Amino acid sequence: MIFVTVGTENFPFDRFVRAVDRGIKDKSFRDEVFMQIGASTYKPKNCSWKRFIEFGIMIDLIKKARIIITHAGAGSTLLCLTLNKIPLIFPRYHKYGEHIDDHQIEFTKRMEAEGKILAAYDGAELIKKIKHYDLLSSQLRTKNNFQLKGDLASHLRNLLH
Amino acid sequence: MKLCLVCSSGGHFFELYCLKQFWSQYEHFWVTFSKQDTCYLLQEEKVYWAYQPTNRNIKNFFRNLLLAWRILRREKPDAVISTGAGVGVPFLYLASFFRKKTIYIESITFVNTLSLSGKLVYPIVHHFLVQWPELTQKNKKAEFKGQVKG
Repeated sequence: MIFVTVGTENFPFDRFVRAVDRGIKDKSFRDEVFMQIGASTYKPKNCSWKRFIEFGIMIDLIKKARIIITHAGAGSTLLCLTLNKIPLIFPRYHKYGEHIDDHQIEFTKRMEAEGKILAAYDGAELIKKIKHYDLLSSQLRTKNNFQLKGDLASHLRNLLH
Repeated sequence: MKLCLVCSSGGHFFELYCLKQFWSQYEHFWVTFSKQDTCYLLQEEKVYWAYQPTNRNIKNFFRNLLLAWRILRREKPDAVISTGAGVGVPFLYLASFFRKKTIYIESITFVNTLSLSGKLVYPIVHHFLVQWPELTQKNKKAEFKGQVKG
């Protein structure tokens, strides 16, 4: 299945939800899809959805899903990497009223350049990356750079004493 | 050593939670928002719930300032650590006023610029940590000591 999440931002993310919904209708992919749509005003017509879900259920969905498509929030992204999944990230744009600024785009580009995630920046690219997800993600796993090093925790102790 | 861990819910919370290897070594308590993620992951933890939303919300800034006053005087932590967003600002300012150690950790999602809450606390915190080395070039006080673990 494909799990889609827009996070807990107060900004809607209709462009993203619509693009996936259209892809389902066009039969671009065969997986069952579930969407967490948050503050979005557009309601999917072609799959099941909820605005917000319990955190334990979110963990289960991420574990179960073949593909997780998420906005570029730290929570969703890190949770995927923690659970050894490579997320397909669709960042929010300030110019579409999707966030307060463009930091999600910068974060996505940086993580993509480091080979840690897959990314799409518009609807057409999103559908293309969903179709080729298995191949693209296995290429990233082969390069084995996709986990964060996680060294900040060990340095914090030194700052306290 | 007692820590006050303050953050909003969502990504800011998850990043601070991911540093468990660090904060679990110390007596600590949390200040955050009551949402699905925090309620799920902090079930066994001591938590104070803060006022939300804080995004450009002056009323809640003052409510959280009063909350920070009460909590910091009651708990007397040695250090206040925040990953943002806005809820961290009154806590870090008051902690600085009370001469406590203050550490701000900018979100991993900020690569080329600082967040608004980061800019607000930058002048007063003891340590301003960023998770991408390029941020240390434009911000002299910023320190890069690695990233949270994904």
